[in-house]
Amino acid sequence: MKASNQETLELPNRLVHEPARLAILTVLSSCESADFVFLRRVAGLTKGNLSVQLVNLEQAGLIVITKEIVERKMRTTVKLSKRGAAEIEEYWQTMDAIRSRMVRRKDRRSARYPLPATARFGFSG
Amino acid sequence: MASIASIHSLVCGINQSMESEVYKTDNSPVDHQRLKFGTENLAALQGLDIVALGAMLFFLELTDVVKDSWWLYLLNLAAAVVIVRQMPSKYYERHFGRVEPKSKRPTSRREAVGGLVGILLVIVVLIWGRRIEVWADAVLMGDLSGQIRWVASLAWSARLLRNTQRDSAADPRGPLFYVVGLATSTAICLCPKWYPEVMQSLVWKTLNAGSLGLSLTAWGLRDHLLLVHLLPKNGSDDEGQ
Repeated sequence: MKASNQETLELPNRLVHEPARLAILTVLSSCESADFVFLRRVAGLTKGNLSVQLVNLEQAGLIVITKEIVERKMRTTVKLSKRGAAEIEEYWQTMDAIRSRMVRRKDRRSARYPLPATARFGFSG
Repeated sequence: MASIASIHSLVCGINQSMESEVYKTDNSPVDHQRLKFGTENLAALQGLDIVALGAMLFFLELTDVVKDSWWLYLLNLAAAVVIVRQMPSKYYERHFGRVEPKSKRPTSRREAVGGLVGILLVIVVLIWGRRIEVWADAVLMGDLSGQIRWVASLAWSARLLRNTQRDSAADPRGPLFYVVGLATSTAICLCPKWYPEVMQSLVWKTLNAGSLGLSLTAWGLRDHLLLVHLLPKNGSDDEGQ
């Protein structure tokens, strides 16, 4: 894409930054593995929604899903793959870069166009 | 790579998706600190087994205060059954799921020294606990009977010190809870200094004798409530998978 000015930034991975998937990956990056019940509870998703998100992440190779039968019940355990761990790490680095770039831009703008005294002291009208 | 101009649409997209109904908790977007804290501390916050242990200790201590109390032994037995049958663990596994924690990183020297000091303190309290209490009574209260149980105040102090090292951003009320607990347990101990007649009342005797059991129960309940707060139940679906 042609830049309007000289500043360019890397965009975060859209697959990762969707909130439901980001929540799942954040949880999995804080532990070795987690089961379906915990992921549903911590992410606040419905069974259907979580299942869809897990399938998407598995197809993208970001997580590994293991199913086993324990005490006559199916237990689904989810683990972050090596690629998933790298992706979530890269995602946070990208977001940090965007945030710091935005802060710098804001600082430059406020230095160039300082607010009038009335605005700085919170006067209105 | 993309131009800075295209960032605008990206940020709008992130903001809109963050504000979706699923991720609205107390009018704030998805909180990654909560997610990480809840995941890393799932096992530590399973407080109902501590509640059962505290109840057992409380009923055990109470048998010295309330004489001829067969029902206390029954309550004690009930609490022991709850612990032995691992009922809290099964409850947590069914309702909150399971997390396999990350393999422990190498312990730093500071953590190792802290752990060693903690273990030594526990050994000292176990061996010389009663003597320390008698000594504390004599020094602080001018009473040589050694009736006052200081161990709960010690335990609250230790918990308060440990809590300051924990991630208090996800648990902002933690220090306040421990300060209130420490103040309450110390007030129970110091009360006879100004009101000596209180030592004859059954309420004071119960609170004094069962202070450690009550403290454990309070910690367990608080940990459980914090876990429920961190991992709220999703009402739109049943438990299980």
